[in-house]
Amino acid sequence: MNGAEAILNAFEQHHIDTVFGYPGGCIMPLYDALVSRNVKHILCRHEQGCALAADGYARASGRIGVCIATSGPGATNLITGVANAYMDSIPLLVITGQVPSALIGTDAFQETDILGMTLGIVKHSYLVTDANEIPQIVAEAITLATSGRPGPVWIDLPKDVLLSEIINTEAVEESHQPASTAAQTSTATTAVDMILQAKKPLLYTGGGVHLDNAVTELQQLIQLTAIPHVCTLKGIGNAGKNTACDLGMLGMHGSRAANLAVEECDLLIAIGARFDDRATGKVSTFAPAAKIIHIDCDAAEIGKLKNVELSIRSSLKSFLAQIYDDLQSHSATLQASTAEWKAHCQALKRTHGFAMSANTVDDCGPIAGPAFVNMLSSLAPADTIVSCDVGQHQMWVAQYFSFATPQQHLSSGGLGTMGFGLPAAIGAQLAAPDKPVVNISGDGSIMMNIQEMATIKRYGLPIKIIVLDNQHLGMVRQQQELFYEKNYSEVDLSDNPEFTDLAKAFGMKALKVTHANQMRRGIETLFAYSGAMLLHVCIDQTENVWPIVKPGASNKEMIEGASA
Amino acid sequence: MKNIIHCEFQPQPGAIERILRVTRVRGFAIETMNAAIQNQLMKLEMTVTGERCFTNLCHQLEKLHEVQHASHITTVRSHPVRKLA
Ligand SMILES: Cc1ncc(C[n+]2csc(CCOP(=O)(O)OP(=O)(O)O)c2C)c(N)n1
Repeated sequence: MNGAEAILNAFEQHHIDTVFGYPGGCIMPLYDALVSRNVKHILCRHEQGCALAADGYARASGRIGVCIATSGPGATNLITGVANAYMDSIPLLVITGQVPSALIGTDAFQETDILGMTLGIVKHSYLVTDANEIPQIVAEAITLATSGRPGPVWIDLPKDVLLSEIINTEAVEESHQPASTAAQTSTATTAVDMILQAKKPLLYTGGGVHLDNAVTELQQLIQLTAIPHVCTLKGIGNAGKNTACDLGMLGMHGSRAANLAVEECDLLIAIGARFDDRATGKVSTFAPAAKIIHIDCDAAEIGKLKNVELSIRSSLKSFLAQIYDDLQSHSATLQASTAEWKAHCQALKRTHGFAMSANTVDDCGPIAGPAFVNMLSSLAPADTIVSCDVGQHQMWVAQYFSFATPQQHLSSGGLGTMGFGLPAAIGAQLAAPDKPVVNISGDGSIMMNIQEMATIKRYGLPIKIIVLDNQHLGMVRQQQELFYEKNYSEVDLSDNPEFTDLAKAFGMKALKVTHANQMRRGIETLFAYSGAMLLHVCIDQTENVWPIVKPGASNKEMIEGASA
Repeated sequence: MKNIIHCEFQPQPGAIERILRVTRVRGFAIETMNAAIQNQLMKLEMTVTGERCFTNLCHQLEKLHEVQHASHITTVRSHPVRKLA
């Protein structure tokens, strides 16, 4: 057995059955060994597509995503995708070929110091020097990537290491997840006391809840206490669909209701959220009247940006279960002491939430992005997985699409990577072959990884692509309009190719809608068709995302519509 | 503010680069540095300056796979401490 075969054995041992890759010189020994194996290799059309598809696979399946590339340009093409996974704490195993050991450091053909280049976007990385270490390294890498706060782990393999025979073929034990830290009972008790003393408690939850598999526990806590809830982009779906006390996303494009609740609350309970600037606005003015409890599994997140009254480093799952038990007997007290606040939050939600009534749509007029997403949300099957790209359309999905779980909403939060949506949809469809998968993209973002339409065709994936086409880099245009005195610079995309023709060239069905009265038919056709299909939606070019908080300003300074 | 950071880690290839990178990216400058292997562990002592929280820097360093322990001792207070929000 050689090093390449040892990698594939390790995949088998760790139940990795789907990988995303692209071959080339230094990784060829692995591709040579792959031919006789059962692992499903998905050949994307760009290494960035491989990394982002592996990311989407991991998000939708809850399992590790694997991507493979050759040395030099193959490896550097992975970087954006790996950075994307790092910023959103997604578990990835990244395998790259490297030039032979003797040539490392000689500026050999397709040599890059990929370990050095990627230090800042991985949880850990290895440059393997001895093939005998491969089983151990892969096992350790998988454990690291998937435990604690998950993230990408990179293994760089010189070609000679892949080819060299392994002497030690003893199987490595299955990797064991390190036990997660549980909160001390005393800190949980303090948290419960603070909750019971608060008149205006507010839950602020993020992507950590889903990553720690704690969505059920959170939803149970919300059901028991009805404490008003706001969430980050990655926390969308945490509270479940149509939950009365859920005020939706907070922050730069959050609901006015969510931002006002943060402004007014006297206790903010931050769970698996990291006080990111898009969520907090100017952090010194965030939650000005509140004591803060911050629960996270990562000690380095606590107190990083905001001083808190109570910091709890713990697995979220066990902490939530613990405080649920403790609060059960106090439920009546809690309801009484917070009734006024809850009623106030309900009123905020009614007047300043994202709900949209059906009759706000002007049938003969142009299509408005929010109205389209709102209708899509009501017509999509309940188990639909939505992968977004980045821009205005991404924010409209966050605002107007209702998700039952965060696992159904794949969005590039930390890095904001245009081009994420299409490959992520491919990964998600492979992870969940029986579920409808929709990529909602913009006319800018879709072109960033358009080549992956060929991957959809090759594997016959029934993905639905929706391009919300405003003929602009809409989000940049919006900020130029509002904050750069309408000095529009390089945002026009009116010369894009005809998207329906493009889709057809990739063997995909396509449909175009231009007026509001065609929306319903377009969406219904999309879901009725069993294969891959693109829906080109021409939307109002001047539509903006509201509200918006100017970068660096306080969240209470939301700008809305005409008042801009 | 100036602090001395003590850090013990497995001397694997790239470990020092990771530690220096985290220190820089998290907003600190290194003034002096000393490192040696003792009992198969690399012991590193560095004087660093910065206005951000040193405890948080140690938490960030401890997230590195090779790092077993990181701690800090305050030496000189050169600037007023920047208050967190
Ligand atoms: C790879 C990458 N490049 C640039 C940006 C900056 N950026 C953020 S949103 C945006 C415009 C996106 O345009 P489009 O995909 O058409 O979406 P829209 O905002 O129009 O809905 C740009 C350029 C980014 N986030 N990612």
